[in-house]
Amino acid sequence: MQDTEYKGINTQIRVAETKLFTREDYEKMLRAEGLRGALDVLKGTDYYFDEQEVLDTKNFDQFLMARLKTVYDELFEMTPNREVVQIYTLRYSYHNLKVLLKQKVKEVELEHLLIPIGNESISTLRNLVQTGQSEILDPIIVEAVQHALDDYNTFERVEAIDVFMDTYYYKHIRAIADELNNATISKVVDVMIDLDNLSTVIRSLNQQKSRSFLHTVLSSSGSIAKQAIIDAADQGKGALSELYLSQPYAKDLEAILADSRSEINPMMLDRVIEEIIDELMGEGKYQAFGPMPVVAYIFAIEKEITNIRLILVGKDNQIDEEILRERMRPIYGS
Amino acid sequence: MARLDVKPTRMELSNLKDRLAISTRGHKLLKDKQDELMRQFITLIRQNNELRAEVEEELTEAMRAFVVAKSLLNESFIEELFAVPNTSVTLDIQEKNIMSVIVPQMDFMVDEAVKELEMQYGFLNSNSELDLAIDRIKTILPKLLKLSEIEKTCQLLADEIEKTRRRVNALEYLKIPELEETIYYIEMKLEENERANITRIMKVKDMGQ
Repeated sequence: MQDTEYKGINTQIRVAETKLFTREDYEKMLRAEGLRGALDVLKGTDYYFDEQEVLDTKNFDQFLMARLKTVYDELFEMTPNREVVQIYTLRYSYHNLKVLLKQKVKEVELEHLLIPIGNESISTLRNLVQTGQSEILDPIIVEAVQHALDDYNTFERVEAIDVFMDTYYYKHIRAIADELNNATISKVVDVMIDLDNLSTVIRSLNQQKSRSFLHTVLSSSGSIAKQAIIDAADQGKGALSELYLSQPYAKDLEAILADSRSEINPMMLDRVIEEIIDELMGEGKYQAFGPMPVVAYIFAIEKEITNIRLILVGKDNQIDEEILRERMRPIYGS
Repeated sequence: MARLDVKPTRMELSNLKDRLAISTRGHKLLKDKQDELMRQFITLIRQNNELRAEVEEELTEAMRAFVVAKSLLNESFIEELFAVPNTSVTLDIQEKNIMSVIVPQMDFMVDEAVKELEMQYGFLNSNSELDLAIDRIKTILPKLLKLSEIEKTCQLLADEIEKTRRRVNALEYLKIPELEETIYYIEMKLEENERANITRIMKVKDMGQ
């Protein structure tokens, strides 16, 4: 991959970035009177929706996903390496695989849950799930589906489908990061997987899950060895904190991990994880060459959609403004 | 008060007196049944109110937590996690007799194998707030099922109380007064006939002298 290949697209990304929501836009939405007021702020932006329909159905994801699909379609066309965009779209592809697999094994109708985002078309994924084979798709996806189907045929555990897909999702983004051979992307992927593992461990410990459970759900594709995380989790939150506080991003985690005697708040942790990744994105955002501006832009648009959904759902359910503010994900440029 | 359309004969009087005795006894029994049903109903309705308030409060909080948790995730992600339920609940309904009212006694059984299952849903497309919300909803479920049993019992008892009240009222204000009036009428009629007969005999006797 030549970094100069991204010269053109990075200019377009700079233009697209100017359309991202700023803190002021969110403030307007948060202060708006009810759902209608919040929707008014969205008018005239790149989010296209029929106000009356949204007010009637409260289906926010429909227009939010439509916007996301447009962004991803454009990025797939413009980006020299589709894999750069795939780092984010694989989440949707693996989600679609879960839906298709559950449809197949349980013979239920779940078509409405499919999200048409990703490098892999839904029909190709459907074909893979039906036949267990594909020459077009990445071997990691094929292996994931085969593995999940084999496991279901042996043990008939539907929930294992989720575990297999999650594990292979991490394996897949790891493989993409290795293939792209870009230091910042590798760092981003390492941090994403390591911190997702940390979040999983904290959630599992809070739910008193066993060691074998951790073996099943943790990903071994991060920079911290899975076994090291499990051993630390066995020794308690102190050891876990020690393990993670030796990482480069320890500064941000310190506030919630340092006092290991008290409970680690997983909600705060989820938010700090996003902030750490946002900081990493900040590093790459202003690189003139290379794929990082694209990655940073996708992260920003994903967080923008999360924030808009949060505010709309919050306004619709009269949720306190403070609760919404606490949960807001990193805002681009601030 | 209406009077029954019967012939004023001794046979009819005897029948009506029997009917009155049965009606009075029936009225007393039904009144007792109504009182007992009311007593049971009041106890249950108090229990129902407390449980309903508790469940509603917990459910509101849990649903609020769920809404906040789901607002951070794509709705399709969440629906996919729970599209195929891995828990199956068996409902066993027994019948219980409260003052001749058949009320349900529900036993909910969660599959033990599923209870022990550690993995309920994937961790990638969910978050810790969702864990808490789901956990809360899970703890409410037994109470919710208990509430459904009590509410159904209250509903059936209320129907029965209403039916019994109508019967008691019908006996007390319609049937018994009607019988009493008819009996009184027949007795008066028979006495009148008796007097007429005596007078006639006396007249006949006078004519013979």
